Amino acid sequence: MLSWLPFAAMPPTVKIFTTLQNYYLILGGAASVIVIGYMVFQIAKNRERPGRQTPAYHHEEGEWGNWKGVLMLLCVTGSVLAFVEYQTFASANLVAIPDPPSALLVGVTGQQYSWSFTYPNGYTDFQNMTVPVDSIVILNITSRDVTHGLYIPELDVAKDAQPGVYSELWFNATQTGVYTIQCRQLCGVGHALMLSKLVVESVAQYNAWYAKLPVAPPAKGGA
Amino acid sequence: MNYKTPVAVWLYMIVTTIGEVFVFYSAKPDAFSITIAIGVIAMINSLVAALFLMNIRKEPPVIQYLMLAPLALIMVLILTMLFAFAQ
Amino acid sequence: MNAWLSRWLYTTNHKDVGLLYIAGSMYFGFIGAILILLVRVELAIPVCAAGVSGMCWPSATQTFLSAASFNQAVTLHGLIMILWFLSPLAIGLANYFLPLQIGASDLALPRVNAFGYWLWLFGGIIATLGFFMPGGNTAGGWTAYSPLSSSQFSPGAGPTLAFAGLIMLATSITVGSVNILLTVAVSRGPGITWRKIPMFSWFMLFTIIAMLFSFPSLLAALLILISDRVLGTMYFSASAGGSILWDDLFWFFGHPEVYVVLLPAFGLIAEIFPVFSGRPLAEKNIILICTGAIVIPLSYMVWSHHMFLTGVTLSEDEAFSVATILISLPFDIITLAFIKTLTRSSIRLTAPMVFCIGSIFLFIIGGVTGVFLSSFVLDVVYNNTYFVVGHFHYVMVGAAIFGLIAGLYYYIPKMTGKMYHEKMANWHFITSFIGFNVLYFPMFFLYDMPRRIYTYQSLPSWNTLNLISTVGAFIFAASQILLLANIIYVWRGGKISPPNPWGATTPEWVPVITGASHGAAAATGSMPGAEGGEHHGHLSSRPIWLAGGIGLSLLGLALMVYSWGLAVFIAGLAVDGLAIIGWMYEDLHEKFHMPEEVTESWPFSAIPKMRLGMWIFLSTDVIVFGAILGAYLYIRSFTPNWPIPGSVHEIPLGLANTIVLLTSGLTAFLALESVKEGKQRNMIMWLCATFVLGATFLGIKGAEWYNLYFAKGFTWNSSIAGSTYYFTVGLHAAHVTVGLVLMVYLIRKAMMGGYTKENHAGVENFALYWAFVDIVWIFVFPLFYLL
Repeated sequence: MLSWLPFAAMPPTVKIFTTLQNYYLILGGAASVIVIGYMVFQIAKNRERPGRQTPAYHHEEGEWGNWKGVLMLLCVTGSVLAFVEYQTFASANLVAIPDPPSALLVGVTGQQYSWSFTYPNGYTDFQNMTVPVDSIVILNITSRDVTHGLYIPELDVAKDAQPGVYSELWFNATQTGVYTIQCRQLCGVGHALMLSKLVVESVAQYNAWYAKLPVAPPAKGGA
Repeated sequence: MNYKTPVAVWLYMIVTTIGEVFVFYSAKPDAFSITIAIGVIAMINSLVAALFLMNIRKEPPVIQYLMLAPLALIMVLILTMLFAFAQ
Repeated sequence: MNAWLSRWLYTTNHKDVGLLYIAGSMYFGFIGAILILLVRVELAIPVCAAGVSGMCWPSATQTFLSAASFNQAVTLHGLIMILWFLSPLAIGLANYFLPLQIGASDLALPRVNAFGYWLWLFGGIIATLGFFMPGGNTAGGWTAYSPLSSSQFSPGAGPTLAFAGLIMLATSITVGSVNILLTVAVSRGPGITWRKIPMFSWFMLFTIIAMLFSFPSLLAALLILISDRVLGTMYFSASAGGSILWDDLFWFFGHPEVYVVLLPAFGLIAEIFPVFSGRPLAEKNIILICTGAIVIPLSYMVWSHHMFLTGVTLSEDEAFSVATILISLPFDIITLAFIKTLTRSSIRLTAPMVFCIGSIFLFIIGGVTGVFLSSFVLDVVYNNTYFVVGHFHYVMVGAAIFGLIAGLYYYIPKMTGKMYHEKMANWHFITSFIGFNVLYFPMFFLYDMPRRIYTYQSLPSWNTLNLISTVGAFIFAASQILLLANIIYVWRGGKISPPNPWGATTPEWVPVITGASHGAAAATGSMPGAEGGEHHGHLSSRPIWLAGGIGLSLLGLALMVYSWGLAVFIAGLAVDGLAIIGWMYEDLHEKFHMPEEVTESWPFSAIPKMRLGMWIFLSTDVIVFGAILGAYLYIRSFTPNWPIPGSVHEIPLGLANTIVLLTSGLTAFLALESVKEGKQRNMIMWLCATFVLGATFLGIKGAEWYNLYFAKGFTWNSSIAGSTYYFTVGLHAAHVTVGLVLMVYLIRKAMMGGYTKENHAGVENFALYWAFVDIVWIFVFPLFYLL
């Protein structure tokens, strides 16, 4: 999470995530504090101590107790939960793949214990992924052997790499630099070391790099 | 002893099973309608078996719900699995 | 054999079995704790790299634990803690106290109860034996995702042993669930109507219902996995979607499982809060309704939130996200109802009470973080990171363990007749609570650190937080010594406690049944057995032998790679056979006898206990076969090049076999009708006909398989179609075989005159089972032969 950046400069995926997370943090945090605080308060108030009168307990509840109160509570909590869930749905563009004609499509294959990246011209890079800045990149992810998990922490994007299945994620890096790619699904003894780099270059640099690639014969479909 | 009902049920099962095979042999290789026809026959037959051979009609309602619950849950599981990658 | 040994090995008494579960779970809890302390040592510091200062491991290959050891440790930690520590601790308390609370003299099927225990214990031992195999134990996470769990990527006998142990555990839970359900359904003491059932028993009942339909899914998944590993079937290694198949089957179990872990603790809180608040539980009926709604159907409708990132459709993610939000609502109500019980009260802060308060405190944090995880967008970042680890430890350790410990302290006076040391227990709470939060709270800030990594590159945020977490782990672990010390203190001579030190009002403390049957609370606080040898007629050696035989067979099966594996397998089968024969012998000659008692059994009054048990068992079998047929449909829809229907199987032969089986269903039915009219000779005749037809079915099946295997080369490891056919039809054939064995028993007993017009439950239950076997075939035949 490039969360030290000012909001406007964050990559879009980070913006979506951070905004949504803030909703949950604020509401969830407030709910926890209020409920725990209330509980601790009641315990402190009602604990047995010398000289305290036990309050008379009126058994006022009927068969179904205070069902009106429960219903009201359900409405309140239900509204809060519905609100955050609505925010989640509104943020679904983090996982829904956009479809601009200019998107760069990179195939990613996970295997024990490395990632490989295949470009539209058929070239496969077995070390790093290089992309241009400020461009939508769509990754088409699969695995050659077991399930892996592709995760780019600084862009707040991730997806599992399953054998025989293709899944997608998208991102748009707004800052040049070198980002980490980690594996996030236990895949064997090399899981912790299955790291790669995402190199984000300026458009000119990327184009120059791309033009110089040896063009491989078309990669066979699938893992 | 009432032989008529169990033998009638048995005959029904045999005939419908033979019917399933008949549907299989006679229908064109159109997978879907065979699937539907056979699926429907299978479900009806299992219901018949449950009603008559297991006598589930005679059990208290709580037993009937007890057996409905796993069927409903399995339908949820199977439908979710089958539509996991629906286009 | 000396009396002490034969008492503990052959007991079927619920209090003894309860204590055995509690002791066993403590043993496994200890192992699970050691494993994770090793892990935390490993994770306390990063691996060295250029320019990194501070403590670090010299290199990726010179860390405290190797990657392989680490992976095994985290995997077994998860398996052991969830399945061999948390649940069994609750089951132990339930075994001891549920019958007391509902006025039953014991569980409905005492020998089955003991069998479940030994199966569980031997399963755990077998699972941990995997550590000693070459290649070590299973190391793919407790979730055992496929294809990492396959024999290709996790070779060796170690993982197979772990999965065999899990199969034993799943079977143990299934028989235990049937047992407890039966007990609550039909063995309640006089006057204990459903309204009068105490809260702990209600929550155990809900726990059992959650177990009832979830564990069969795990069993199906494990059977398929073992088949893939040992026989070479191709369910999960199928490249098209096999991994998602495991995910679905596993998590369909996995999600209800977490409520199985949590609900007993809530049940204890529901008992303990009112007692120490001096007022009744608030909104009791609403709590029960909420818990019922959680268990069925909500807990079965949220599992895909564990699969948000697996590549399923957005619609699936959205649907399950909404369902997960929905399930949080009843939990909100239950939590607030518990807190309301603290209002207008007079709170005594005894050890059980403070642990319960701690449990609710930690549950709130765990629950709120769970709401974070219900968002399929937030989960993109949190999935498989320490945020998830933090969340589930807050609910499974914080809420569940603190609640179970509260239950232990609460019930120690009842189980032992002595009082624990209150001050030590208070210190136990304080150190545990602090240690717990120091250990787990930092994990929420490690939400970009993947889980299950054995080491990590140095990052300032990660280094400090991991170190703090490790310190917390040792504090938390060390504080449990206080619990152990307290137990020893009680054992060695704590103060004698009055029969009802807490002033509770539930039946296990205050007997409500006069002329109490021998299990009720009449015996105050003394260890069982000291109450005057009441259960000596209920010793049986069959359960432990049967469980041992099953363990031995599975051990042999897993070790087939060694030449002596087959011998062990056969020895195990022999022990199984002898134990089953012995068990039936006990029945035939009425050597194991539980006295008949007056019980409450609405709404099951019209249905005898064993038939109800058969229905409950069949309802679980619906899930097993449903899951396996579902797996077939799933695999089929994603695999191209399926054999054209009719090209492999001999359909006329299959049809003939179907007719044979359906006819056997008719003859079984006629056997039952005959005995209902008192015509025992006819019944024996029809039963023999059923046996012959069933054997014919297996014979024709064998001929089919011989032909397929040798003439057509269609085997279980030659194609995916072959895998699904042999596995599914094989499982059905196993059920038919069991039916044949049952028929031998029935015919033998019938020839001894054991079945009469009034008393023919065995035949009736068999007919039910046999009809179920028929129904399964009604689906299997068209699905595999015609489509």
